[in-house]
Amino acid sequence: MTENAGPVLETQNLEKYFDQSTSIIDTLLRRENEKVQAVDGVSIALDSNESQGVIGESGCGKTTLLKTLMGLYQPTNGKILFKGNDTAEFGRKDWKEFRRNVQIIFQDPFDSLDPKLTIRETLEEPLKIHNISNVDERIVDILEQVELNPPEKYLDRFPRQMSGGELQRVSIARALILEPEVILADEPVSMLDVSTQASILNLLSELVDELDVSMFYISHDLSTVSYVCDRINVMYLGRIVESAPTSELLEDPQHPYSQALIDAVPIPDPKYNRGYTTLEGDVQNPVGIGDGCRFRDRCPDRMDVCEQTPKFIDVESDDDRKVACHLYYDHPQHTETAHTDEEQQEPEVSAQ
Amino acid sequence: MVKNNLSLMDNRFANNYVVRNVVGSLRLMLEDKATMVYFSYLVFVLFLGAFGPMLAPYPYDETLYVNGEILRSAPPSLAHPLGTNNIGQDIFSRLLYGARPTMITGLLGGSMIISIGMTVGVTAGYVGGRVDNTLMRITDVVYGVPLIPFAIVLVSLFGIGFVQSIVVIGLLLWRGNARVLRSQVLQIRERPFILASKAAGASRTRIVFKHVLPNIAPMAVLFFSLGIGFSILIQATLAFLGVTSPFIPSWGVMVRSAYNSGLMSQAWWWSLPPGLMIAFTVLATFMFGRSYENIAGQGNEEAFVQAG
Repeated sequence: MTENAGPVLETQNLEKYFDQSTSIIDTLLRRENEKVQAVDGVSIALDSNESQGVIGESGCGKTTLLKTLMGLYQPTNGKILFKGNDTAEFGRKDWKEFRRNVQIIFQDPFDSLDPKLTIRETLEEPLKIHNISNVDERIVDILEQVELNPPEKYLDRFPRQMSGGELQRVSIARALILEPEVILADEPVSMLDVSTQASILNLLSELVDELDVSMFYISHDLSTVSYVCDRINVMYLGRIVESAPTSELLEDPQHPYSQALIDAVPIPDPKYNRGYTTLEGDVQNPVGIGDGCRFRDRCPDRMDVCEQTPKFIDVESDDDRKVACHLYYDHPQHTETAHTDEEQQEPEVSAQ
Repeated sequence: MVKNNLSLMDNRFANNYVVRNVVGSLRLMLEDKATMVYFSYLVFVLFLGAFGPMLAPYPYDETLYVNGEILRSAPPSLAHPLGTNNIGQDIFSRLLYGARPTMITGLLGGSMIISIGMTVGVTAGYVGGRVDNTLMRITDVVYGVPLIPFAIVLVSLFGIGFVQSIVVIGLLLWRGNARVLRSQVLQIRERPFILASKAAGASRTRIVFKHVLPNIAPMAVLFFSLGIGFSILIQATLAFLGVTSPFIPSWGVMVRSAYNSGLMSQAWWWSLPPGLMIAFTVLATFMFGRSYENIAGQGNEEAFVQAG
């Protein structure tokens, strides 16, 4: 693998479609089933030591994106680049390197540790796979780092003997024990109660800073994402609709969907009289939805041009932000906007 | 309870996860009185299987004479606790001898059933796709084969024999195991701890042996014990039908001889004991497997309750 200074993990126009189950009759009639477009043209670049969040409502494709990034799903189209190398061209050795450097933390702490293994055995596994010595020492170290003290007390316990917060700490320990470069976190605190959430979030962001790890943090909860991440991507029905540094997104959301999201964050003051978000309708079913802005049916600012897929472009005046909305760029002819598929990609970072 | 028991075991052998799970579950199970009874009964039958022939007062095929005459169909007495059969053999001795072939049938048949069933089920479930389809269609075909007629055909092909009758059972009865274990694997393989292990770079073999098998183990043990029960039951049926070797004195063969002699109702001491032994042994294996599943599955259930 070649090293370069570009992003650690990057996706270019990543697509993941799922087949719906086809019946025999469909096959006989050669009827093509509509695909479920779970992830549709996502381009994200994660720099080293950066924490990026992906936020969106349930079913918008966050978890699919994460699993595709992890290499657990084969992407339908587009590329995943790890340190500039395309994962599609990975050999056995490259995958092993990738597996060592990209780790995952799941949402449900009660189900993300094997109930039949002790904590020691769970933490041992990645080390054994990658032939790393001084196993015991490392396990004790990492347990101390995730603040499970004293480590000896936890080593021979089973997952069923521990609380949700403790289990999530073990999950974090398992992800960090290989000293990876990237952590993919799939709503790691959403199943914990609020007081535990805070301590796990603190721990996670401290460790990420301390150990020079980059993190992809996926959640539906804007407050936890903004707490941990430097940059937030807003996802709606498989597409990223806006990407901006956290503070800017929170202060001045551009895309109508981001605006609605941020308006909906509760303010902990009962006397404060805020306007209520009025977002009509439901999320569309992501089956064969074709072209056009995904948000158009619910958008308060809907125009005719929204039947076409918006470009994902830099926001004028600020090249650190991107938004996919027709409101933010001029259209030469409103009736015939140029085909935008190619332009939708982010400028490519040199791959070699 | 478990916590204390498990954390107390700290030597290497006890920490081997197979040993740990089996010992832990057994200990829990034996707290239940009914299970304790079934377990003791099974141990007793196993003991008979191993030492029965040594304990038997007479050789199983020795014809006994009293005053120069064959002692035919004698009712129970002190010398012959279960009487004799129509050709003067001691039934108590035959019953003791019969434990061994019955146990061999159970263990061999049960192991064949579980090993074929588990191999097919786990492979189909874990590999998925075309492999899954092929294996499951084969299973469906095997499901369509009627057991007893097929056994008779096979036995006529391979010749009548004790081992043949067991192999026939093993070759057919794995079907249910394969289906159920496949569905278990399908559930387990999508769980986050498997994905996490994949993400860490674990190979397919490692995942199957370290994560999948231990988690379907309670189910597999249940099916193993059901398999033992079924093998004994069906072998007895085959013996009764006369498609197994009549010279090996299994309990099924005893019932058949009693039936053939026409003394089924008069010589109750001949027909009843082997029948009851079969019934109790099968019952004990079924009930024992049930309670193993109940208790060994508990760890997971707790987790589900907490998560939900």
